[in-house]
Amino acid sequence: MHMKKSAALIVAAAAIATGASVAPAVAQNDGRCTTSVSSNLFGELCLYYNSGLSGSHADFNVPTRDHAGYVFSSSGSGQGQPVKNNAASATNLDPDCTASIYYNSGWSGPADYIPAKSSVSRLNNTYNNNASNHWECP
Amino acid sequence: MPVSLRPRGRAIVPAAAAALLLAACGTSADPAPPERPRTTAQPVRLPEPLLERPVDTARLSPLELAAVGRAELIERAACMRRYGFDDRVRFTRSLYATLPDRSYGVMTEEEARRHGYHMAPDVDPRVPANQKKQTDLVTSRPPRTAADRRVRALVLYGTASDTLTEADARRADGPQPLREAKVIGTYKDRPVREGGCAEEARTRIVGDGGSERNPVAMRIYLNGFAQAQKDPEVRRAVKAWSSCMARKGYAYDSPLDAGTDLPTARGPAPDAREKTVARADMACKHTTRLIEVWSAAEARHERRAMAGEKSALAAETARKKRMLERALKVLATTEDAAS
Repeated sequence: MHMKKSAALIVAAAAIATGASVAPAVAQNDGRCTTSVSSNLFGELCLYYNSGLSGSHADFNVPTRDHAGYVFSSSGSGQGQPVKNNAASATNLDPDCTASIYYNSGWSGPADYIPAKSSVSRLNNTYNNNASNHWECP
Repeated sequence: MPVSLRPRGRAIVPAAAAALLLAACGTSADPAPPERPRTTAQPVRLPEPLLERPVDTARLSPLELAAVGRAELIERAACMRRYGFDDRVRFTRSLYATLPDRSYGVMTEEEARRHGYHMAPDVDPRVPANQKKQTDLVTSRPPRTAADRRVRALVLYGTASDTLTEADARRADGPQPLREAKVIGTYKDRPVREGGCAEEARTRIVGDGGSERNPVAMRIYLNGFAQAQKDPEVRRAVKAWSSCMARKGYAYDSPLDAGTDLPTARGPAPDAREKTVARADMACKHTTRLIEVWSAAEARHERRAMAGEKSALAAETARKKRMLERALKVLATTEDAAS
């Protein structure tokens, strides 16, 4: 068996991976936004303090009833500020499930939906009105 | 340039490379049978939502998103099978098990009676089983090694990285041009493209390079809610509802806050007290016509905003219609997919 050029391409592409499948288990709001393709955790919903996916972020990997008590954890503008009613943009790193961000705690009020593996550079009504989050998976 | 969320790293590891090459040579196990086609395709019709908003002609509801997502999953499995994997969709949950509309808090007497402020146990996010990610895409040969997992991720997602590309970031901004995705390698002599089977399936159902999100409709829906909340008629109705609740012994300023202070609000199930409060809430909503008044105000604000976005909404309406037609056709021709 010899390694074909095409196989080498796959290998090269694989090597670019940051190692989500071998990284230690990710934690809620540990300051790192990660996918979780190899586990039964959701790929993270990352809420940013500023528009355009900038500033400090908070990362959620479980459905969260109330954003109260969480602070923006990564370094950057807004670090240490409360997450609830303070997010300006968001990324859904789950490659399979739609993320929902609710206006009120307990998954009530209107919700903004972020499809799998995409982002919203400026949240609409949940802009500074985010209170809970969830994912819907097919 | 990709939007980097984590520093990239990891050099090529020769041992991993060898494992990948072996994995790419395939296995001899028989594949599991795919989803069964329906012999007599019946058209699938989704039930009417609890509240139908004017902008819902263009906005995808949670149930519509679920239907599109399930159709994409069926297409993903078919794509994976073309690469020699044995993925299929095992329908473990009802298509209709989505989080209920809680625009104004608890919305129906039946929900209040059965679940209090909670939702049905198969969807309530407080139930431990619902806090774990579960998709219905299954394989009888799950990858065992890190190298296998990487190969599978590459074929399925076209990447195994935590990086969101600019294309990913743009996808939710609405329709994107259909472009042939870049080939990033081959697997079993078939080209693997950026985005992998997931993106191929999404493109097939959505119909363009964007995501399932219709951003103009979404903005109008969310802003309509915010404006209606400040509407004098809605404020009067909320005040009347609050007074009604106070007469029953419950102090809440808004139906959106009702029940959030109860000891059971954090737990997976309601108790009798929670159900009692939720039923009182519904009774007061009924007396004060809160849902009718609030939703009518929301509809007024939506219509006003819609008048200023006619062409964008016409495009999004057509996009949604075609997306749903494609999704429902896939569900209609797959046994058990619309149950």
